Amino acid sequence: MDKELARHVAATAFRSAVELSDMLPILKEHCDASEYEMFLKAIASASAAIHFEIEKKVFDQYPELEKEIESKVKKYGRLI
Amino acid sequence: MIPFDTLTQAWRTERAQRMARYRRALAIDEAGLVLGPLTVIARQANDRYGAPYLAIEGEERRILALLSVAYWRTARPAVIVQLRRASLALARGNRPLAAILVAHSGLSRLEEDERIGFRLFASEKLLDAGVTPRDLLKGLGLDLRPLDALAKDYDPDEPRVPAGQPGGGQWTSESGSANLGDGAEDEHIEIRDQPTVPQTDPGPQRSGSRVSANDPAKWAECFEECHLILDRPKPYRSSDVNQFDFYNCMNECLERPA
Repeated sequence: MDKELARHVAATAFRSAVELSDMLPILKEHCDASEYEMFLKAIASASAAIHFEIEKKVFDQYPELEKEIESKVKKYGRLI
Repeated sequence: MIPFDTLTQAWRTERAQRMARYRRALAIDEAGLVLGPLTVIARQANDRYGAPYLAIEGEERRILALLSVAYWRTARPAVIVQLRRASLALARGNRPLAAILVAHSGLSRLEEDERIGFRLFASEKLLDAGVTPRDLLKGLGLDLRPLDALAKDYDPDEPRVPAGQPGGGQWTSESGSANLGDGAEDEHIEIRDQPTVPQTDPGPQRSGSRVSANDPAKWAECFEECHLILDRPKPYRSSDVNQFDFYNCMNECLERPA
């Protein structure tokens, strides 16, 4: 995999996880506490899987991409 | 070192006010986690978004020392794990849950006694003046093994959740207790009603050279420690910081030696 594709994969994976996490406020608003906790854990588990099963594989190949994402999130508060 | 006379003089000045608000059980107030004569066991701090949390990172020895002084018995390091949970709940804006978790730290109610009050007051002053928790406990003839157990597992250089975040610098013991050696058990403050850590799906097999891969127990422990970060209020709607901090927390926890 070349670096540009790796960057695309890592960014897409990160955004996918963020999209899942972005459901949490509406779930919190409309679910009862136990149901919300269940979804919170499910979303965290799916996010972690995305991170370790997709992003980490890319970062193993291109460690500098991890730093790149980190610096963007630190600078802008989000991946842009 | 503060002269004893100075301590007693300060106590005389503050005694009435402090004893009037004496806390027989750990409680969270604006100063942090307080016990007895308003002794701050763990200070309250704010993360970079202003969310309050209990500053436990790097203060584990101080916390254990003050709890040992309060109960005049050895405080187990396991209490730190529960306080970290409370800190995370506080950072989520769930103060009632934080209070419940603190209440379930397993510490019994403290006797309302002026001697205990002075003991805590003086110990806090001494620690704040630079006396080490080890020297404090040693001077009082209290068991040092919990600090040793903590030191054994605590490496200041090991990867930790960054300071300034709730749950920062997480240190934990897997079972919620520490092996403190022979004959120490009876003298420990009991940890009662420890909440059960929910079992979490260990998830798919992990890859990556830097994480402790394929260890479901470690995975579950780290997941339990980190997943609440996703529940923190975001500083603004489109912020990715929670996601990023969750990943950092998982990475650092999984890399931490068992």
